Amino acid sequence: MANALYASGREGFLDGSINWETGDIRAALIDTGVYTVNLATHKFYSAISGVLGTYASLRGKTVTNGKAGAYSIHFTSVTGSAGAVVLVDWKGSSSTSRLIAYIDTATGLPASPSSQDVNVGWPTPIFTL
Amino acid sequence: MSGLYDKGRQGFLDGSIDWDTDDIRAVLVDTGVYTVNLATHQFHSDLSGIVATLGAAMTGMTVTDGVADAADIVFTGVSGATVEAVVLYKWSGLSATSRLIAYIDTATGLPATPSGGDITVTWNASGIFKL
Repeated sequence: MANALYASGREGFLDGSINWETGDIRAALIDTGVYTVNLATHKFYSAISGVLGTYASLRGKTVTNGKAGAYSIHFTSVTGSAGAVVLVDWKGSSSTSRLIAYIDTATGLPASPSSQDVNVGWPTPIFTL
Repeated sequence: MSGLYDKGRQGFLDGSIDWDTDDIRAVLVDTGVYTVNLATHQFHSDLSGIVATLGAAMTGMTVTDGVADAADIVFTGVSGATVEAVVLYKWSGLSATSRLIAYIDTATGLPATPSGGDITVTWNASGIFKL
């Protein structure tokens, strides 16, 4: 599937509970053979499975004209079959951190590393609200 | 063509607009006077052809799954030119800093020819817009 926003993420932006610019936005590298995305029902990070690596926190974030941007990221020493990155508004707890976006089309994806780093370059923009 | 203003999208992305707690208002515009530009128009002061203004914040705001909805709105005692669109904005107290959110020209009640009576705009059953 194409890159997309979770309904929970859209809701978070609409009600002001997610702030792309100042929030603690993190990324998880996902084995899509384990995790099957459901944009409508998966709400929090606790709904995610198949996490191969995490990255905290995104930097260089931009918001101009509702287009979300950020610096590229990397996951260190990953082993597995990485098919997507999930972006999360981290609130300190897996069960309260809203899912924002599911990205399976980006430079560096998919990847099948064996104790190697995975560099992910975002599309421009990452998403548009 | 209904749509979200780019700077409205930016406001949601950076947390400066909160649909369910901010003071969201509406105006009726004559599109023979106002030509929308979703890319460049940012504030209420960019509008022209305003025929009627909702004098208070909209109510019944909901945000479920990123779909913005609200109670239908009523503009009272409207006179003037025919109105074809509604513009939603976050009222800051100043026209020059009140951010435009959405331009809507497809809703029950539009277009309307004022005759001094009330004009009711009924939102689509599926919501006003989805982020």
